Amino acid sequence: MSFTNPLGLLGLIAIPIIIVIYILQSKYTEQTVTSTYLWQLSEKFLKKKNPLSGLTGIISLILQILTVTVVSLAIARPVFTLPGAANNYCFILDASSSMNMQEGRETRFEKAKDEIIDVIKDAKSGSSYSLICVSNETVTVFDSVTSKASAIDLINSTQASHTSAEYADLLGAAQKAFDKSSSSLIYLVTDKSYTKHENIEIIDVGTDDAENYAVFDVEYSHSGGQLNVTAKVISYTKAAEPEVTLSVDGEKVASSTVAVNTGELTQVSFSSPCVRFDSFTVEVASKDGYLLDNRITTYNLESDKTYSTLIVSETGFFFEAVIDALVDSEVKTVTPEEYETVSEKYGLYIFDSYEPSTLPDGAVWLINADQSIENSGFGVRGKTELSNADVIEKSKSTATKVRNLLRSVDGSDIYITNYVKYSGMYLNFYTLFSYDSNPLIFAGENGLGNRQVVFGFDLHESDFALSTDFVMLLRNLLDYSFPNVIDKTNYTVGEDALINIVANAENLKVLSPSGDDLYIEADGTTATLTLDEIGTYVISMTLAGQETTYRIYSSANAEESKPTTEENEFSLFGERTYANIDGEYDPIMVLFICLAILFIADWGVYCYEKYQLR
Amino acid sequence: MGKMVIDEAFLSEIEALQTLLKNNVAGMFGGNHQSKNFGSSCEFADYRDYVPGDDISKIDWNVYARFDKLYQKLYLDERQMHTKIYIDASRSMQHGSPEKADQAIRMAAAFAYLSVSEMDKVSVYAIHGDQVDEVISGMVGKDSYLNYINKLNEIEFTSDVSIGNAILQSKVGMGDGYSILISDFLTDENYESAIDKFAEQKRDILCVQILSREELNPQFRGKMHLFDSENVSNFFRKKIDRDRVNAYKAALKYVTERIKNYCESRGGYYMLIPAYQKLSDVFFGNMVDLGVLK
Repeated sequence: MSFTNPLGLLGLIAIPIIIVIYILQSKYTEQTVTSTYLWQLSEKFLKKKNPLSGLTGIISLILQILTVTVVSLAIARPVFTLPGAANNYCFILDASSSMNMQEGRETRFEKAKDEIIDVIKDAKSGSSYSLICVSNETVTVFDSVTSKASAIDLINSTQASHTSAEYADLLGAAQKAFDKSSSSLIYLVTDKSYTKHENIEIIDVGTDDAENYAVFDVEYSHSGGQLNVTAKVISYTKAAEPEVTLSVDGEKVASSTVAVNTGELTQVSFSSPCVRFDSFTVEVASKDGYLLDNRITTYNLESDKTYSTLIVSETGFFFEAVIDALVDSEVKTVTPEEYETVSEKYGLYIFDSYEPSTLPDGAVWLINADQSIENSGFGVRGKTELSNADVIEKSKSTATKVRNLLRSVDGSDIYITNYVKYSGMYLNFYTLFSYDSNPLIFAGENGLGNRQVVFGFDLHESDFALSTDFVMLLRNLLDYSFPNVIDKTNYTVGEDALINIVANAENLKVLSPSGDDLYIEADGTTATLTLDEIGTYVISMTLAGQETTYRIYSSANAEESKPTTEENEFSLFGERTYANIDGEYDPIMVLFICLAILFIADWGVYCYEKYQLR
Repeated sequence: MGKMVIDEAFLSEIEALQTLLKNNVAGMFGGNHQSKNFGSSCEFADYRDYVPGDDISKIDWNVYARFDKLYQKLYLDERQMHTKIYIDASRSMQHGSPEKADQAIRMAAAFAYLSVSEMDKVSVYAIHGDQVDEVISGMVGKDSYLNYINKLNEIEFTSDVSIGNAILQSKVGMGDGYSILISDFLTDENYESAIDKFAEQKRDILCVQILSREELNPQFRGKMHLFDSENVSNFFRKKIDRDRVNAYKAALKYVTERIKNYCESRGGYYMLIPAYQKLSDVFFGNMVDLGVLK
């Protein structure tokens, strides 16, 4: 026997105090009466004495001592060891998205938690409990917890995820728990069907009658002021005619009742006049047990793109005209003298035959830069005049970045009459064009971590600006300088979304569908966001001083949408052992009952003594 | 130090009691002692209100002419009785709440009033130690009652009393009325000799035992050391529990039965009056039941 709170035994100190009080109270009370004659006479009339009468005092004392003893023990919480009476319980809980499916008043996950709690409540005291939740990741929620209350509290705090759980993950988690202790009672609580289960108990919380619709494969085209959307709708458990709606920028613009057969994907199409949109949503309006897969929202990638460009040049019309033609941009041109007074921030700075004293914080194009600039990532060896105009050479590199930057650039002859020799270039620079092994056009990240493009010759003294390659190259360089923050807006839950960390990007924040602010780790110019919720993620950042938001939609996994799954065999390898652990017996209830009996008995003795009740 | 039991309030109560008695009972000892009734002798004694059915020849018409109200003239019977009331003035009578002494004085005053109302002579005595002290002597008529009854307040309940010795040494009179003995009788002292003496002297006997609430139904429990109020050397040291209280009540019953039987065997009456009982309840309850009042 051990005590949970041995200090409670200090209450036994009260016993000698009670005895002292009893002795002090045993004194006779003096009182004057009219006459003691009748009292003396009463001796003759005293019948056979009740044996209890003389013992009430000592009985009361004994009861009080017992009461103090029991109270002390109750506070000290004695625990008796019962050899081999308890078990290790390990619960593998399927926390995949399908467990969010509503069946009746509660979801499958809530039902699963109730089942586990019932097992724990019925378990012998002294047992230990472990809970492993399996979704797209395997998480040990608690391990070898011996307190039932703590285990139940932790179980109640768990939530089902929006991601999927693989059969292999569940099996792996269970096998790992079994390997750890082959005498453990392992329970797999899931909505998936498993036919055979050796060394493991399966608690199936799924039913066949859960009703569910889902939307998949949303595609669209937007041209000529018309938005055309197609999607596929499925009903898993019965043929039905659900209503499917299309909403553009939050406003319902079309709806259609679609006849779908059980388990068959049925296409639905919408066409709606639309000049411009930020997002549209296809949704099954009919309610079912699993709402997470009833809608898909698509965001317009182009609508979020913003350009702001500052050209520093005496004659910047080349770039201004081309950039205006290529992109929807705010372009401003200033002279080198005026540049000194510019205080606004821009996404792209183009310095034409001018070298700023310090590089600005943003994407930079340096045209005909013949002087070294701090943090530019290259040195200047000097300017070279050619006796005759000569052709520059397009890079033959197969590097992805080079190929992307030279996309659609034919490499037709480009003549130059002079060029600047550069040296000591950063290793991350990619040469796009060169002359006599000297890099003439190259791109990379400068010392400030911003994207930088360098033209090593004067465009005014070259025919490059007149060629189609110039336009194509500028288009590629603009894309390079203004990369999309996100490359696509639609993902499936569990996937990783890539976020491009563009120049001047500050205060990067991601708000999850459930409203949590997420921290994402950036690796250079990209960051990875793991999508583990279904719904819209809002990515916000400050670009050139402006708060800019991007949205991506994470849709439900098709496998998790199925109310039922195919049957699988589920067995754990290994020999089950029966080395039970010692159980515990907490006699607190017995102590409370004893305490109640003692109180009643003591009260009875008190009443008997005080009021002589029979 | 005297008590203030007899006061204006008490006298008002007595008056009210008298009115009630007139309407409800024939009178004290009615029927047994015709000789004590107002008779037809020539000696005028008092007036009382005329009641239909009275002898109209005894209406005082002169008074009627003066007050425009009918009064009946009363005459002393030739055989006037002498009621003697003995009050136990021992210390034990001072116990209880209300005190037994208060009830004793009130009872004595009430008995005296009833007697003077019937034109009997009344004397009241306080028993101190072995002697009987005369408090009121030969009181006749209501005027005299009103003049002297306050003397009962002067009785001091401070001494040890031996009722037997005191009565034996006193002159109790010879067969001319009631001897009323008021006491708590909580003693094993030989009070029977007093009753015997009343009986020998052909006196009508009424013993009134007054007991306090605590004496009738003791409430204390547990280990008690009880001292006798009259004799500190007498004490009772026991644990008092239900069995003991039952034995006490049996002893009380035994004592009261013994006094009652003794009185009745001598042709007398016995009444047990709680100290807290109202006077009207005593007269309309106990005394009518007993036949003292009819």
